[in-house]
Amino acid sequence: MSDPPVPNESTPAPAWEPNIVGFLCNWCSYAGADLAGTSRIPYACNVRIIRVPCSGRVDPLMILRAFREGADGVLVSGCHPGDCHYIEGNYYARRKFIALKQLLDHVGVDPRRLRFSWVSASEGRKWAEVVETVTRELLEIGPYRYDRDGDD
Amino acid sequence: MATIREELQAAVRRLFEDDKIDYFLGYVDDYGHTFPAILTKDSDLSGLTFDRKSYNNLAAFLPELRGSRLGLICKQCEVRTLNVLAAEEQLEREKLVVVGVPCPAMIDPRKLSADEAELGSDDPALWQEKCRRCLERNTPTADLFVGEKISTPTPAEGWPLLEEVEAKPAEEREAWWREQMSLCIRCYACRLACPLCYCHQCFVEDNKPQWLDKSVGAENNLHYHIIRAIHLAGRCIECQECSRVCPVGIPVDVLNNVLSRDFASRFGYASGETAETKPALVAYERDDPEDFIL
Repeated sequence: MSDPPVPNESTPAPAWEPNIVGFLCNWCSYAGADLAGTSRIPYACNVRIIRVPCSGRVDPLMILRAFREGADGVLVSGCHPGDCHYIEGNYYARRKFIALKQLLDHVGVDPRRLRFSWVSASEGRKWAEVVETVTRELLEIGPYRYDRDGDD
Repeated sequence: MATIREELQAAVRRLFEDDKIDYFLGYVDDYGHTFPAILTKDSDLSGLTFDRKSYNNLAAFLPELRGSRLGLICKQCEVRTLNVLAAEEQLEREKLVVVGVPCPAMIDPRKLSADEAELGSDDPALWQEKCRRCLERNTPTADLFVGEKISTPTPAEGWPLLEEVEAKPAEEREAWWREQMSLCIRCYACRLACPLCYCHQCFVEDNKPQWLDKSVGAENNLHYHIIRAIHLAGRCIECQECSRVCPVGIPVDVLNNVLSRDFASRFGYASGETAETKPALVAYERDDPEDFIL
């Protein structure tokens, strides 16, 4: 692995990089991301992680607000079904996500901007892969800009 | 043969005389309009009616009358609403007298010419969209029924407007919704008319955190309507009151229909079918679809 280039006047400013907001459950995915870090697994550094107690805590309002505040993509990650620390939080979350995803698809938001994953505390490598996938897809589709015509 | 109007008035008079109810929630006509009214035993019942312009979902008035003994006219819109309210433990059913009526299907006022004669017509083209897909025209849960039952089926046609919007490619859909949402003035008439938006405090009024801008703007408006649709997911009974009362004519209910239709096919779920059906978002199956999850 080579060191990333140090920016100086001879290297051009990096092209656009996607901003991804990640909502990670405290018990599985956050620990999984931690494991990816302590295992020194290299992966894209585009995700800004917000730790939540459970994927069931993620209110669609939070996701929409992330988009309004400039996120190009949102990634929500929790425990695998059956592994929820609160027994059933991720089952409820799953239905909520289905609803939000349906609506965002309907109003014309690219479905790749809102991703969900199950990552357990032992799946550091999977976390790295998920982030790589999501980042690559967002690089393909470009920045999220809602035409805020008439907004202040 | 008494008209439905006379039968209804006689039935309500009897309910008051027998001291069965404190209030009656029905429709009164005047000046060529039919509007909802809360009547007491001292009210003049001569305007009480039920016709093709009895659009309102009367269940929207239930929260402010909570605690009193109440009679109300129930067409299928109210029947389904009451079922959802009962499932959510928001209803004192034993205090209600459900007056069933044969529903002639409601006219869409936007399709009506000035000629009142068309009100007598039975042409589904003049009906509201919800009535064209409604399958039940005679209040099945009625405590007492006035009028003659209708046996003619409705066209049962689905969601034409939703399908029209969906046929557009994604960019056009986004543009179409942006155009609709830029009209929204956030008067919250949709929320007020909705019989299932009964929260004491709505998320749009929250200050800490303030989830949405209180000012008007296409993106904030869109997000308000999306979240409202999610709060009604698996609850909305498609009475279309939100769209009917919208002063700028946004078909708000299309967003609700996205979820109604999707939940019906995914979870075999129709809201308000019975008083026991739990709303879809407070229930789950272990094997719910998760093909979208990485």
